[in-house]
Amino acid sequence: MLSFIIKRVLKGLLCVWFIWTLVFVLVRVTGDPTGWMLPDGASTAAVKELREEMHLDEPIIKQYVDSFLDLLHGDMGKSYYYKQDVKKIYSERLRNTFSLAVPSFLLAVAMGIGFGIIAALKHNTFVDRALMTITIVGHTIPSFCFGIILIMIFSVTLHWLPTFGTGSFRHMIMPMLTLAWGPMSSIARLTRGSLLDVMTKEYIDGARMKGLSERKVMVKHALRNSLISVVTVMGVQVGHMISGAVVVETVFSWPGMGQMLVNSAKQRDFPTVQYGILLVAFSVTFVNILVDISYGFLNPKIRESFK
Amino acid sequence: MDDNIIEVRGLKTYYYTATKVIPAADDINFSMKRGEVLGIVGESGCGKTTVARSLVGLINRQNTRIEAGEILFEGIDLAKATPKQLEHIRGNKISMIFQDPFVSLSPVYTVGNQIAEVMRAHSTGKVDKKKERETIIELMRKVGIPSPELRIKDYAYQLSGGMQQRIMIAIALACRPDILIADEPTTALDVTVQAQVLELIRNLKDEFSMSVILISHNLGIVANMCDRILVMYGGVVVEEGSCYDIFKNPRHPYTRGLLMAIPSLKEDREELFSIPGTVPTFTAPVSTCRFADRCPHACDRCREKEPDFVDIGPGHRARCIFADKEVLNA
Repeated sequence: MLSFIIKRVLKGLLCVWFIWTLVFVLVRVTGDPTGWMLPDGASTAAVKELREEMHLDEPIIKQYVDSFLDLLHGDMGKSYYYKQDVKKIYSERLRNTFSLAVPSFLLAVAMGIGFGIIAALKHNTFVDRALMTITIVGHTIPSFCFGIILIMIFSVTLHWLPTFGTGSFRHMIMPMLTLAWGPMSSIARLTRGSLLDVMTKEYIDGARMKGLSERKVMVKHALRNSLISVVTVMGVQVGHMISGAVVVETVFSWPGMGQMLVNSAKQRDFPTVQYGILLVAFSVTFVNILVDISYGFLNPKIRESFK
Repeated sequence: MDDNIIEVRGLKTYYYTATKVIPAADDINFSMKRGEVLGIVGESGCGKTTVARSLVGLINRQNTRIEAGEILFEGIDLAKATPKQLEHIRGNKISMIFQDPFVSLSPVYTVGNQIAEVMRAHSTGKVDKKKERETIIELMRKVGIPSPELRIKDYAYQLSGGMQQRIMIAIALACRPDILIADEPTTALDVTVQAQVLELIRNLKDEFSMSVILISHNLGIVANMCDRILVMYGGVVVEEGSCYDIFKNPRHPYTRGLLMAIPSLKEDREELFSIPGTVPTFTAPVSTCRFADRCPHACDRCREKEPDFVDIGPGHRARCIFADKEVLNA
């Protein structure tokens, strides 16, 4: 088990490094940040001087190696725009994003699994169809659209909730719903499908034949077995949620790192983009390692392959 | 008839599809005594599994219903039993083993855990873990699992098919049931293992003094084990009798067909006999002899109405208008 975790962590780090490299190259492909940093009509000499100061005149390989060594020393660089350490810029933003994303994810998982179970138990009834309609809507409506619809209903028409800002739980409701809706829908649909599939398995009748109550059959046998595939999707959904956060934070002016990333990319603020993506890559990889480990707990067959 | 452990009277279990009503089990009557082995034979889809599952309420309630009839067991009618009553009976008084042990065992729990589960479901009071473990190991030894103290921690996929079925039998017998329903218990197993598992069931039957309902499409298996046999076709019992009656004096053309289809070393036959045609699906109500379309002796009378049972001897009867006539022997 331990060797599996170590192997998995090393693979994860390799993946994060690869993403960082990719982003390093990609941001530099988009162009030169000196364009906006100097006033219009700045002299070529001034541009050259600034480029030298920012080490952008050096060969890209050298820039890469230098940045990478800095990264290993924990120096993430200074933002071109904010003129301060990117770690400092992100620290508060990261907290804001987490304070939105973590509850949203928990909400998505709780509601998704809950709805999935209800739909499966009430298979082919009105409740099932209603839930599946709701989730297909969540599946198909893009989150920026969904967010705006929520604003239209709850802020503009009903005046119940504030359109933007942070500070109270009321500020969080709409961004949270917007962020959770898509993942919740995927999780609900998958839980339902997987549960319905498991319910046809012979070992469910086997469990019934032991004289277990229907509830026990559901929880101990059906749900436990169907969770294996649900957990996989939960890992993928974390990735979706982080990309969703970019949109949701923009729609609701939520001062998180998603918003920061978009702005930095627009400004060609290389260190800020690189660090932001690094954080995202890190959290997604981390969650996926957790998912892989949880497989082992859920499925003994996989646990054996850990050895 | 008080010594009957279970009595089934006029059982009708129907499937409902969008357009049709299929009489999967139609007017089934039988009873069993303690220690008796009843065989139910027939082709796939003849309703034998439906009968077995109806006994313990293990039917898909969305499209299947027990339409009529009584299943009398210990003073309750299982056909109308509440979920609570059924839970009390399943695994405790009536147990069942299934065709494919691998898919009948949960993949995520150890076999020891799965045996413990049935014991806990039917015991009141606190569980003594150590004693429970001993009981499980003892039970595993009894069903012929070597080094049970190691295997108790195994998962189903780590065991062979024969061992898996032995685990299923251990689960079924953990609470010393009165009746064991074995639904094609050896079909999914290797031929060499089949005989061992059947032998095991036979020995345990005596030791636990249970009654066994053995469902099979294999007449050879049934002949070896059963006291009485029901031959089913198209949802009805077409012939019933003692093992001797069925094999030495079959009166229904279908039973004869089945017997002739068994390959024999004694006779020098070029081709194996097979009953022409396939099992049709009927829609209720049926107003013809269900076997008429495949029967070599069928006449107009067979298609007028469903024939009643004709008594041939004590406990031996067949659902054929010619059952008591010698014409069939020609």
